[in-house]
Amino acid sequence: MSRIHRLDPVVRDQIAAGEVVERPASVVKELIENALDADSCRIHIRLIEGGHSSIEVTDDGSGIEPSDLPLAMARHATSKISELSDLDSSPWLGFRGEALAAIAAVSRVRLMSRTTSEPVGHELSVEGGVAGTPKMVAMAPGTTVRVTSLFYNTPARHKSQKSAGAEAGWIQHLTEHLAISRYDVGFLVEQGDKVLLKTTSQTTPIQTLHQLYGREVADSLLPVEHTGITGIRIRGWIAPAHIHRGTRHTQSLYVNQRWVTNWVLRQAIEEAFKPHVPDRRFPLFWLWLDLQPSGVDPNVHPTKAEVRIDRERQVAALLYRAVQDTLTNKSQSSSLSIAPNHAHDELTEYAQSELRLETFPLGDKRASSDTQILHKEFLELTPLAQWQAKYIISQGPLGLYLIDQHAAHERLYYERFKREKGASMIAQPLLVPHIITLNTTEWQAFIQHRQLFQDAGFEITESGGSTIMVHAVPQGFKDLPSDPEMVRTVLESIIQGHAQYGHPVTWVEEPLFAMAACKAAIKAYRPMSHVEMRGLLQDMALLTDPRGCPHGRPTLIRLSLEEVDRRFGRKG
Amino acid sequence: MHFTASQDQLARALSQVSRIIQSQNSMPILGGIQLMATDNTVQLQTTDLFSLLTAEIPAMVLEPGYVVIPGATFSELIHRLPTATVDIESDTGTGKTVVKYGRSRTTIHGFGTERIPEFPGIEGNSQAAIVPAGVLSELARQILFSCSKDESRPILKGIHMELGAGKLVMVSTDGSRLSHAWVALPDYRGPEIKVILPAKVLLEGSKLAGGQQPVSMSFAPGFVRMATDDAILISRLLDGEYPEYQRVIPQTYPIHIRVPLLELKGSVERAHLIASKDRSNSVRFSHQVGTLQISSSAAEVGQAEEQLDCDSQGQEMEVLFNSTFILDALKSLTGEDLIMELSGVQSAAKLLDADNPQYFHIVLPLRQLV
Repeated sequence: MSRIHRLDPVVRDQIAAGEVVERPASVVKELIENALDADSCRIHIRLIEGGHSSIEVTDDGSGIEPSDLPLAMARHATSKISELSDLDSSPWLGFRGEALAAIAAVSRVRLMSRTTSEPVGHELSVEGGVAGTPKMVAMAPGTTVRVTSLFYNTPARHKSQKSAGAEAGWIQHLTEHLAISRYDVGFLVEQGDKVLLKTTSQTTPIQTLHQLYGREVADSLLPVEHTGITGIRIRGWIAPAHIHRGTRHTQSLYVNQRWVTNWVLRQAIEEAFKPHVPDRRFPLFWLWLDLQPSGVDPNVHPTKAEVRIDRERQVAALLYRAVQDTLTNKSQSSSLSIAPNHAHDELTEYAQSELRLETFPLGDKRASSDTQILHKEFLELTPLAQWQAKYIISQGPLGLYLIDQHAAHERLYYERFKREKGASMIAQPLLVPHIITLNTTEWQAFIQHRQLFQDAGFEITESGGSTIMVHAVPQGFKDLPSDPEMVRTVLESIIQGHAQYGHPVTWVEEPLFAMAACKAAIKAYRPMSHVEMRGLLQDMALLTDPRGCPHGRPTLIRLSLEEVDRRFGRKG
Repeated sequence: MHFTASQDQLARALSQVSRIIQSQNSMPILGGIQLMATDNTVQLQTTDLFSLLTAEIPAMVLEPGYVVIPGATFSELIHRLPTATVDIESDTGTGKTVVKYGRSRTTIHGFGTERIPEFPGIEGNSQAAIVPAGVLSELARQILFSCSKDESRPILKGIHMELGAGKLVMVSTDGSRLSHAWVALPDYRGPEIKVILPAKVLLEGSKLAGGQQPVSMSFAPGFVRMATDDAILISRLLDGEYPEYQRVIPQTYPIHIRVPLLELKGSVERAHLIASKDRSNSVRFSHQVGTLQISSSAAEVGQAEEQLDCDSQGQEMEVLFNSTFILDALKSLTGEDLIMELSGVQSAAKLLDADNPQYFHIVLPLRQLV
C-alpha cells in the first residue's frame, strides 16, 4: 500500500490555520481588519475568558451579501483583490482570503451579516471547517462574527495558550495599535461587563491617543513631520525622552497605514532616544510612514505584521533623523505647553536637510552657523546659585533647572570641536605600514565601507587574503595619538551597528571629540561666578543638542512648578 | 636580621630601587623592598616582575638575614632620619622591623617570611659591553621621546639596540617619526647583538649610580643585565619583530638647510602655540633659498608666520609637519646650528645637529586631504 496520500481537507486547513491563528489575539486582529475593510464606523469586541471561550466582533460596516456567505468562509476567497499585481496598490488590510477559513478550521464560528439593502440578516455556522446551511436572522446592518471554543480540535495548541488575563491584556494592546491607526473608527473592547478599551470616532490620531493614554501623555507629545528626498514621509507623535515605559506596548509603527512590527525600524527609532532613556525602558512613539507601495511587500507572513521594505536601512536612517530632530528641537520646552488639543497644529515643517541616502554628513546646516539661537528657552534662564560647586540652579519660565556644569560645558566644547573639524583633514603617513589581519566579519565590513575609511583619512591597501596594510591614519586630535589600530576599533563599531544610524562618517572622530571635550571642559567642584553661569546658560542656547553630554549623561534636570506644587500638596 | 648603616647611603640606595616599584600593585609584596644582610653588605631589591633592581651598600652586619618591608613607608622614613647612622633590626618570623636612630625608634611591619618573587638571575660575563659613564643618559635624551606611548603596538614601546662592529646603535620610532643615535664602543669584542630594550629599562639603566659610573651590559636570551659597581638592573627584553627601519630613512636629500637652532626652536614654539589649538596641530615649512618660513593657523584662534634667514641649497618646497614632532626633535638637539634636510613633500625629512652627526631624527610630513 502506498504510504503517501493526500491529506483530508479538514486536516489541511487545520495545519494552515496554525500560521494565521496562533492565539485569541490573532483572531481578534483578523476580525478587526475585516471589519475595518468593510468601512465600519464602530467596532465592538466582546471577550469571554480572554477570548479562549468566546470572541465576538460586531461592526456596522457594509455587510456580506447572503449569497456570498458560504464563499466568505472558504479558503482563498476574497473580495479585495483578484490578481497578485493588485497587491501593490491594495488599500485593504487583508487580501489573502484565508482569515475566516483559518479561524473556522480550528473553532466554532457563527457569521451573521446584513447589508444595508437587505431587510434581514443571514447567518451561517461553521464548525471545524464544515459549514452548515444559511438561515435568516434579525439584526442591524453590519457583520457579527462569533468565535467560540477556539482550538477545541487542536489540543496541542489549546494547551499552550496563555492565561485569560494575559490574553485579554494582549488583545487590549493590539486593539490600541489598530485604534490609533484608524482614529476615525470607534472601538470598544469588553470582557464580561468590564470595559477594557473605549475610543470614539475622532478626526485626528492625537485625540485617540488622548483617549487611550490620558492627558499626561497626550499633552506632552511632540509632533514629527519629516519628508525625505525620495518621497518617504514620516508623520506622527513621539513622547519626550523623559516619559518612558517598561514595555514596548506604547510603540506603534504604521507603514502605509498598516500596523507592522519591524525590528530594524524600531531599533532606529529607539536609538534616537537612547542617551536619554534608561536601560530596559522604552520610549513612546506612534509613527506613520508613507512609502512607495511598490517598495513594501506585506505578503511575508500570513499575519501580515511583518512587512518587507525596500532599502530598509535608509528608511531606518531617515526615521532616526526625524526623531532626533524632533527631540533636539522640542523636548525641553513643550512638555508644559497649555494647548492640549492643538498639538497637531504645531506641526513644523523642518527645513529638509541635504542628505545623501546612505550616509549623513555630520554637520547639518544648523550646526555650521554658530550664531543661530536654537534653544531660546536657555536665554530665559536666570542662574540662582551654584550648588556643591557642581550644579547650577537656575529658574526659567518652564520651571526650576538643575544643570550639571561639567556636562553642559563638555557638550559645548564637543559641538565646537565637531564644527572646527570640517575645516581641514590631515593624515599622518606611517614610516612603516602597519599590517592588520582581519577576521571574516571585519573583512566584510571593511570591503563594504572602504570608501568611508578613505574619506576619514586612512590610506589602506589590501595585501592578500584578509590582510590589510595601513599606510596613513587620520591625524589624532590634540594630544591624542594617531593609532593604526584605530582601523579595528572603527570596524568593530561598524559591526556592532553603532555607526549605523547616527553619524556613519564620523564614528572615527566622535570618541576623540568626546574625549577632548571632556578634558577641556570645566570640572565639577569648580566654583563659578554668576557671570560665568549666565554665560554658560546662554551658550547652551546655541547648541544643536543640549540634552546630554557626549557620553550620554543628561546635562539638566527640570522641575516644573506643577510638579513642585503637587509634591507640596498644593493644587496648581 | 640586624645591621647598622649610614643613613645617607641607605637613603640613596632606597631612592634608586624605589623607582622600580609600581604605584599600584595587585600583589602587595611587589610594593615592598627586600633587604638582605650578608657579611658586610646589605642588598636592596625591588621588582615589578618585568625587571629586578639590586643595589648594595656597605654595612656593619650584626646578624645576617632578610626582610621585605613596604617600600614607600620605609624609604620616606629613612630619608627623614636626623642621625648619621641607622640601626635596623627585624624579626625574621614576623617581619616586624625596628628602625633605631639616636634615642628614638620606629617600628614597621614587614611581610613576615615572604620574599619578593624569584627572578631569573643572569651573571655578568667577560663579553659584556662597557658603556662609558653618562653615555646611556645621553642616548636616552636623544632618542627616548620617539618611542610609542600607546599599547596598541607594544614593540614600538621599545628601543631597537644593535651592538657590534665597534659601536652601539639605538633606534626608536612610534610609527610616524624615528630617532637614530650611535656611539663608538671600540673595546667591545663580543658577538653582534640585536635586541629590543624596553624604553623604561634604558631610562632606569641610564640612572644607575646617578649616571656617574660606566655601565656594563650583558645579554642572555630574553634578558639584559646592566651593572655598575653597586647596582644591577636585570630586565626582560621585548619579544617581537622590530620594523625594518633602515628602508624608511631616505638616502638623498635634495634640500639642505642650515639654521641657528635657538632661532628655529623659538619660531616653531610660537607657531606651535597656535597650531596646538587646532585639531590638525600642524606647522608649514616653506623653503626658498636663503629663507625659511614657518607658519601655522587655527580656525578660531589665529595665525602665526615666522621668517628665518638660513643657509640653504635646493629648490623651493612647502611641507606640512606635526608641530609636536618637530618640537620634540628640536628639544633634543644641543649644538649651535641645526641641519634640516628635506627629501620631498610626501617623504621623510631629517633633522640633525650640525656639529654632532651621531644622532638624527626622521619625521614624515603630514598629508593634506581635500
